[in-house]
Amino acid sequence: MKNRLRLLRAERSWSQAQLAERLGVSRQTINAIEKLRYDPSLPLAFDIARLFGLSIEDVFEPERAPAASQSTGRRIY
Amino acid sequence: MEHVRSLHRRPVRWLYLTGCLTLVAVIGVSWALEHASLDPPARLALALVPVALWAGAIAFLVLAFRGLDELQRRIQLEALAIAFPSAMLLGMLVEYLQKAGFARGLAVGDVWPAMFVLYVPALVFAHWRYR
Repeated sequence: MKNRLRLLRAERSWSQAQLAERLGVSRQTINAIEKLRYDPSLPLAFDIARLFGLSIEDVFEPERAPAASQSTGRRIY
Repeated sequence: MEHVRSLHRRPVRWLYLTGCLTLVAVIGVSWALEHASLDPPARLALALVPVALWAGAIAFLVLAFRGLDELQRRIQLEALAIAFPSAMLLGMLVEYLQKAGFARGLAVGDVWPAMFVLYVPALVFAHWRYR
């Protein structure tokens, strides 16, 4: 999952450690998310988006486009 | 945050300490039970020392886990997922060596503390994956 975490952090001149402290996680977690080595859990993704005053979609973007059936609104059961 | 982090590190240090003590106890107790002449109650008490230490290590493992964030938990779980089957493999190796007539001095149970030793490189590997 792609993300704009590094950019958003740089805009606020926060270090990884400062962002980690605000989110209550380790600096390694922030580094791994920024380097796309780790996808955060949904609660952490919400916390990140909330911290920057954005929606999750503004911060995170899936690598793949949604499936055609989903984009056309069809439901699969 | 630093205060919180230091609190989280404490059980990890105790975990490493109890893990190392278990290893030493397994070797020492195995030797003592074989070579020293002790009365049955002393033998029983001595035999339970590594078990009690290992139980302590498990308790500290759980405590240490609670203090970790989600990525650190994943790293620890991946390390355990490598160390546990590796220890089983080692146990299998000892068992089949014994069937072939080698490693008579070892018991399969002696292998389990090696999981703690295997856990360290597994942890380094898991950390490296998310560096």
